[in-house]
Amino acid sequence: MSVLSLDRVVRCYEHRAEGHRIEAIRATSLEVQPGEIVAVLGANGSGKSTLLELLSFLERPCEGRVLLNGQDPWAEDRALQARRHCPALLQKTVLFSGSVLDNVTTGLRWAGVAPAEAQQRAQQALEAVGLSGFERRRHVELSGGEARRVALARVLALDSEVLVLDEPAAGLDAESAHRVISLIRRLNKERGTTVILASHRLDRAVSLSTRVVTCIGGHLIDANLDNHTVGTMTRAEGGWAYDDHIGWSHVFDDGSLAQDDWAGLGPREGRVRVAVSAARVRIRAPGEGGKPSLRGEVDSIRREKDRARVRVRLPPRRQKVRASLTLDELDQLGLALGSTVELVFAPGSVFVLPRR
Amino acid sequence: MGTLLQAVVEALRLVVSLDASVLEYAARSLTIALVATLLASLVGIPAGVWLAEVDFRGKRAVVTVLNTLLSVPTVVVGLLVYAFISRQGPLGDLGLLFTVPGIVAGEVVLILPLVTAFTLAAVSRVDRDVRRTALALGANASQALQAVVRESRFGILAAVIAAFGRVVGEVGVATILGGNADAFTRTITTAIVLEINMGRFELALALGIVLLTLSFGINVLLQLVQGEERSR
Repeated sequence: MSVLSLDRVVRCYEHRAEGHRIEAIRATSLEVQPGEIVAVLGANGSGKSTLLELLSFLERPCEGRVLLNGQDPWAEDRALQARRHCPALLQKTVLFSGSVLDNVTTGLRWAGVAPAEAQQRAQQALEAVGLSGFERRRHVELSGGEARRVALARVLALDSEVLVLDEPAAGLDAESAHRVISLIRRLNKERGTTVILASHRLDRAVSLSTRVVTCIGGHLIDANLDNHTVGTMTRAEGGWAYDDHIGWSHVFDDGSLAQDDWAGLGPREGRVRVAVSAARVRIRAPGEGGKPSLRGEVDSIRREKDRARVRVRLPPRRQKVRASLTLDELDQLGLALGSTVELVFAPGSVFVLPRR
Repeated sequence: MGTLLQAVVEALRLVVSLDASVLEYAARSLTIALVATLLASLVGIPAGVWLAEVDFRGKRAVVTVLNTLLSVPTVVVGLLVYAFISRQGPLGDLGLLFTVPGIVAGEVVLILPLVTAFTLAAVSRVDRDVRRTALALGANASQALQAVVRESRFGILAAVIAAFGRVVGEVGVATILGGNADAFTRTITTAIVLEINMGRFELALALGIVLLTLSFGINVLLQLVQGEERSR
């Protein structure tokens, strides 16, 4: 059974001045299995923090249900127990005034853990994040990265079965980030801790996950629904094939594109919004035949160390799609600015987004 | 110029020699301020925390009224409370008019909005992030509230000190409700007004020096509190 699952969840805010509802996230479905590490990818403002607040029972959905082990804590008035089951590291680091040790024992004290045991567990958690010896430091004496790690230790000390981490490595230097990532991996391996973590970029945090889901414009895109709307990539597909910053090169919206079966999605009525993963867009010379494709003009070419980034402009509305190819491929195609090319989308690389 | 200098010297002499009436007025002023601040804090701090926590229709109107009350002239507060505690007033039977408890009641009415509004501001400043962090760590509602209040304690303390300062230096309420009766309800500020009217400039000045020293002490305290907050 899933540890956590979302069932047609909508989280919204009342817009006081204008008196209407603003949707922060709409998530049709998500199932988190015990022992999984699920990475939630998305740009700033895409709704991933909101999603994590739902999964840690900090926010109540205005529609749908968030289930913990098949039960609905909000309906059963057990949100506190649910929060204790799925403690969260929030995006913003807020330390309580006092010493580092005070901070890390706080959650344990709230849970009624005896002071001696709380102190011992806090020390273990601090050691795990590489902050042994910082117990007596006051919270104002810490650097941003140290404060982040204290906040992480504060959550780890709770020893929960589920961890919800919003950008756990944000603001950490490479070494600390590496340590944090290894720590998460170790917890997952040794204790079977289920981890849900958010990231706005492809980093090590994502590379350690067993599954990636993506937030785009307030929609959660997850796999297990329907092959057309789907967007989960698994490790089995051979590495993580996301673009390097938000995972998506592009979201575009055009009726005419939908007419053609250019992405192997089958015929669709009317306008569709789609998301395309840049690393999985292939470029070929026009007229080669084969799979359905989109035709466009090369708009820019950027050579990097071992890959080239090519931007292709599509005619109807001059939308730009980025593709990533190897330098060999680039030379073989003999691309130049203005060349006509065809874009081919690998299966599973194009996602039709739900309507706004 | 010579008279002013003489007056200052005489005033300092009165202060240093611990003149009995100077001491008496100072002690009364302090007592009134302490008791009024204590009472106003007992009500105002919970009220401010509550206002920061709850969300209800018309909350903004309440906050606006509260902020308006911050600038109500003290004589108007005195007048209002007078209407309640004078012999003909609804609370006339309590016999509070022209007594120290009467002054205290007026001062409480005066500073209650201040304590409440400043507490509200202090709690609101830390509320959202601290509360969410606490809840995310498994705090129940009252534990989260405790965390919020704990983090805003310096702001709340500043509210209390500011309220105390307002009472110590206040003359309108003390005059109207106290009646400035020597040996009963005369405070430093009402004494200053009286002594000047009677032409006893030195005594007024001596009382002024005491009052200034008190204000200075309060401000030093406030600075220390704010400094602590910055460094925490």
